[in-house]
Amino acid sequence: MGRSHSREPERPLGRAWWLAPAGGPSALVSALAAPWPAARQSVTQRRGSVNAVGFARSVLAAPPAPDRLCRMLSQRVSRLFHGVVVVGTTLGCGGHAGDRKAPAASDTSPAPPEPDPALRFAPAVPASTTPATFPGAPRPDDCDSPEQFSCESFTAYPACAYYGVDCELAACSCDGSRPTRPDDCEHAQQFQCEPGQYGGYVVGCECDAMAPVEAAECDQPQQFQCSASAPDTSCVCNSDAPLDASACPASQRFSCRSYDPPTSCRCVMPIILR
Amino acid sequence: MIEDVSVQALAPEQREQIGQLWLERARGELSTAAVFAHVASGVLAIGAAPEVLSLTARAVGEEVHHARLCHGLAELYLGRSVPLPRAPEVDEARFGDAPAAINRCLFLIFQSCVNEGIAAAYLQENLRLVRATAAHRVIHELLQDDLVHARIGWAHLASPELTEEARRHVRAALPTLIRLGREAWLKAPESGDLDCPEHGCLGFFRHARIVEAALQELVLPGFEHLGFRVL
Repeated sequence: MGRSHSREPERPLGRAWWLAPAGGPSALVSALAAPWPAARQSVTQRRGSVNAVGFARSVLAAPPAPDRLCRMLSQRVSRLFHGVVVVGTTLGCGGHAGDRKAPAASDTSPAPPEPDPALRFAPAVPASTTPATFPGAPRPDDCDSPEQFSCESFTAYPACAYYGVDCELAACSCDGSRPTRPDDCEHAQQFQCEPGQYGGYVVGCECDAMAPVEAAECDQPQQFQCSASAPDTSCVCNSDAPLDASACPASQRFSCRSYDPPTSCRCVMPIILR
Repeated sequence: MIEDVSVQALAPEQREQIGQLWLERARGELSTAAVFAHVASGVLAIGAAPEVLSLTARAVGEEVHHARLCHGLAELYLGRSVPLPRAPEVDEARFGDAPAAINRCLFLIFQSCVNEGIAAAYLQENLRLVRATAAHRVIHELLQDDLVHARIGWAHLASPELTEEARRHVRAALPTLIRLGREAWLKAPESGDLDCPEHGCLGFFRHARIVEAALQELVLPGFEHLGFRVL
């Protein structure tokens, strides 16, 4: 049962409603009903009209923000331009958001390499939902090896990379002393990186001298687990690992990488092929 | 329910105030979902590009998800379960007696380029100032989606599907669209104004600067980027 906005609908439209929770018709709805005749007039009768020019002057010739706070705010908002307008434009031209090779992009950073099949996790979201990083935000591919990209807070890094905020908190840099591959550590099993990926890269790698190298270093060999194999890397003693089949729920199967002794054990869901 | 020590440290009346504001935001997100439902219907009718169609349709569900996030946060602050607000009834916007196809196009441009553009700037400032972990997580998610929502209109303006007639109308309507955006965001709240940025609530006195920054640094340069010169 639709109603026309021109008949003063009771509910407002749009994003700003939650910011201005006033009762009755919102400014937006009222405005939608009212202003178009003027705009339409400028379309059909007065193209390039005085109204439009006057508006533009009032908007664009407004004096710059007087205080530093406003300047900083403007700088932050201007960082949105690339991620919103440029990426959006690329989408309309048949590209994909986050496509670093897009010709319209002002970001001059190199495109990421093709995904390495050995990477541990597949990208979780399609490109069109991935905001492009802000120009100037630190990125893993700024480093000679992305594995050497290090942040004090990886939790804060996405906000820095995508929106240009919290970069001080993230405190990311390239640390040339960090390992780039398992061979750089005394034992490959001690090569540890950040869980997950950032921009498609494995980052934040280090050699953890405390990490176990073999199953015998854990309380129980079943607890020795590595995130990747050939070679084994990112190894830990997982105290939650099941020691035998009785530790697994009925719907799951007790599975180990080897069984003499049982090593690197997990409860896994059986795959049923029909 | 989410745990957050910074919330537990608040006085009960502060929690109530902040919780009510987040509840209101949940209702606003549902309102935006309803608006995007109209926009989605409109872009289907005008034959927009596939990427525009899919992003607009997806925005409806994402705004509903935002409402649930805000509602969950409201419950965290209120310390009790409250019903999810009902979606407000929203009608299709009418730009006077503009032809139907033009009306749909203008609605898309207004909602995405202008309204969601300002929303992105608002949430960016929101995210910069928030300190409470749970609120930070929610605002982060809202911003991530709204950046995509703000792209849709630019995608349409850049697409071959935009007719020359629609382009002319957008150019002429630009002052109106900008004015509507400014008015919508600068309408003073009749109740519930609270400045508590560390918990994600920005006082109304902050809006003007954010809106102007969004218009000057994002929206208007965006139109210029697409060849819609305002001067």
